[in-house]
Amino acid sequence: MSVARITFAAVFSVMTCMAYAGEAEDLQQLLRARQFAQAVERADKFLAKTPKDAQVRFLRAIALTEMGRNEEAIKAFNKLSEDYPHLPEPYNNLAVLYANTKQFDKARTALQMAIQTNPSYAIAHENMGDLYARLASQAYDKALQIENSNSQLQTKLKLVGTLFNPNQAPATRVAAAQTTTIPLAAKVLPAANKPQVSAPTNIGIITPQPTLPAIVPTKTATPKATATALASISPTVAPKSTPTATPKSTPTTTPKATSTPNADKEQQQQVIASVEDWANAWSKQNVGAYVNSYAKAFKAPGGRAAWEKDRQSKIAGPKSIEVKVSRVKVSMLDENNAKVTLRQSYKSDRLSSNTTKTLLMQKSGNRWLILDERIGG
Amino acid sequence: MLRLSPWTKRLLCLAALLCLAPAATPRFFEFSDAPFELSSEAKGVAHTGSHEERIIAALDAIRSGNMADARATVDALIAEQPNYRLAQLLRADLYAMRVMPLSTIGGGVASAPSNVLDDLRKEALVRIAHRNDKMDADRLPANIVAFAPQQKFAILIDAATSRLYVFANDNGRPKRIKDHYVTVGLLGVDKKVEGDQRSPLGVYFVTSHLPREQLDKTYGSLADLYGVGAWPISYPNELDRSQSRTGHGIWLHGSPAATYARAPQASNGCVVLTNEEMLDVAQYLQPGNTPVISVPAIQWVSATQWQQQHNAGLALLAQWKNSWQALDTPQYLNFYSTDFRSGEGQNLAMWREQKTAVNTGKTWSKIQLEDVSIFAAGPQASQMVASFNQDYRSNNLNNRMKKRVYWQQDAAGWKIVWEGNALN
Repeated sequence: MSVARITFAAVFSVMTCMAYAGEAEDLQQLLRARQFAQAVERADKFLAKTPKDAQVRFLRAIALTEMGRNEEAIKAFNKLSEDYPHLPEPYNNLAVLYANTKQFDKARTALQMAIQTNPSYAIAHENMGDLYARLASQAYDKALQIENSNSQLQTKLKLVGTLFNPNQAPATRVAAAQTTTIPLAAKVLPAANKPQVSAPTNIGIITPQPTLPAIVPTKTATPKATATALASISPTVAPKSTPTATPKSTPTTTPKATSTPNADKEQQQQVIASVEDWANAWSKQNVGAYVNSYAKAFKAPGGRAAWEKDRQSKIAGPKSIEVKVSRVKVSMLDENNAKVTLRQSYKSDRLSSNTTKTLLMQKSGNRWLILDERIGG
Repeated sequence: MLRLSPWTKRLLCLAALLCLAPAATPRFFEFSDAPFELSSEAKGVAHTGSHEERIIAALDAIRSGNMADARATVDALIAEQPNYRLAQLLRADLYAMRVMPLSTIGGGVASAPSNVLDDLRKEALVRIAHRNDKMDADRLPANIVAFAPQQKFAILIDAATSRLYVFANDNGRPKRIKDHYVTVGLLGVDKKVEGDQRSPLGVYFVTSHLPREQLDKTYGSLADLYGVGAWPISYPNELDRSQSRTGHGIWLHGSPAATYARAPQASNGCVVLTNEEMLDVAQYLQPGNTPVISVPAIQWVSATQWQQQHNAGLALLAQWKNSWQALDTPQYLNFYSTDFRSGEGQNLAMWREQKTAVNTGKTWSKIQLEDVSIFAAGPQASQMVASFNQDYRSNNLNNRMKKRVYWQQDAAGWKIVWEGNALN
């Protein structure tokens, strides 16, 4: 009797596993058949019951991408990367979409996030290379004073067709997945979408691995693994790594109407001065002053001590650092909180990068300290 | 023998069936995807053509994102011309752009003097700009107004586009033979004084040829600067001297062995070509004969317009000669500018006095102009330089001389600003 019960339980669990695999598999078949509308419809139905399923949400977003519904696709991938910040694939595909819509800075940030979550993620590295090539083409046009002449752009960023394994810890994941390539130029022009439809896609085959135990990444382990790997493997990521940062929706607090415009201006200048102090401390490689620019409540990735140590090596390490901030925009959330977006140009003897950053700053006496720091505007 | 309950058997059957259904088959055996390969190492196709065509093809390939072809092209170019610095710079960029975004040409170079990078960017810019300037093959330079019969070719230097053109004398009409990228003075053109690192603007003539062996004897190791040889030109010309412009040793010459091409503005005032292009141009240079017309920008006109200007230039010269020959002193003097200087240094007042006195002693005169050439320099070709052999006969004087007359166009029309013996 007990044997029968165990068998029953085992068979039932296998069946649920198959049902799960079946949904994703069916969606992929629809994608392969280029029946994108049906795929979206089917995914929507499934997600109504199981809203958390990462694989189905991912495939749905791919279908949206293939249909040219870029904004919805961007939204879907964005939401996925918020909910599953340890997965590189949504970031990667987000980058492809951004690149297709010529939002190169955002594409770069997204790829940086993909690489941060998984430093050995080859597709993201290759896409980064392609993006850099695209940026180089643009820079050449500008230097040669030629405008809008890139009629036959050959740069392609690769869209990942599948989540490799949503449950596996990123550090142990092998970065391999089949990809589908979307020509940049073809996607930019809606009219050019037609010939693309006839092209065969190569959406990756999902490979569930029921024999492997599902490792749920712990919150502390993930950023550590990426942060340490970062320094050695990828010189292209932004120097200020914020591995845990997931683009959340920005706080919707509106500035208080009670504060007079003049007082606001004064406060804003204080905020800007603090931001400049922070950048200066960084440029002067003054680790103490740099670290003191962050509030006590700053959620340091991997814990304050580990973060400080990491910053110490990254800031004191290079022979020289030059950090410049530009396009600083301050919006006062309330009297003691401000949101700052800025463009950071970082130059050291090792690398140079331009990044858009968002800082949440909190007032502390006459200074404003960084409460949260994220890449992206 | 394990005994199973009927329910278990049924469930096992169901499981087995489910496993056979394709849609639900778990893929137990497909763990490995194909190993991922970076495709950026793809072999590109090297473009062919002249060195300039190839560097432009490489720039175009980068602009269109075709990095593999760009790499192949640049690699082949460097194999042939290891000293082609622009090609080296592109190669550096092609490597750097794999790991970082470039902000401009040469953005991938970690450290180099900014003026060196600027120079190479300018070289790329002028080469591409020239290629993009869809030159209408029918357009002719208004700067070549009339060839003398013995002049087979004329050299035209366009400072605005860093370009040297070779035009042939095709039955009196200019015919474009070829053009090359060219380097002028570090500080540009319009030379005024010795050492100002500018190249002259005006009408000059090739005066001689200094072969490399001769340069080696004279300058020793410094001769390398001139590459395959030098072809001095007649700066300062007659007008330059009357305007007290100074300087000497303005040559057309080649490039040092360690440099394939120099920046658009890099010389001390000389006009510099790559060695291969200097040798190519040299075959068209006849010392004492070939004009070298250096202008801020070539005045391109249609064939019809060219013919009109050609006729107008010759007509102007004929009117001047005729008024002189007719002893019509007022009309003759009307051709001279208030800024006029003669070869002997006379100003307009002295000239007027002398010519009036001379003409009153004449009963007749006959003037013939032979081997007339007219070339135009200055902004909008506003300076015309006429050279000719003048055969002057009159009741009391005959002479033959090689003469040069500089005309300047202003609000009052064309006026003579200098007239006298040609120095070359």
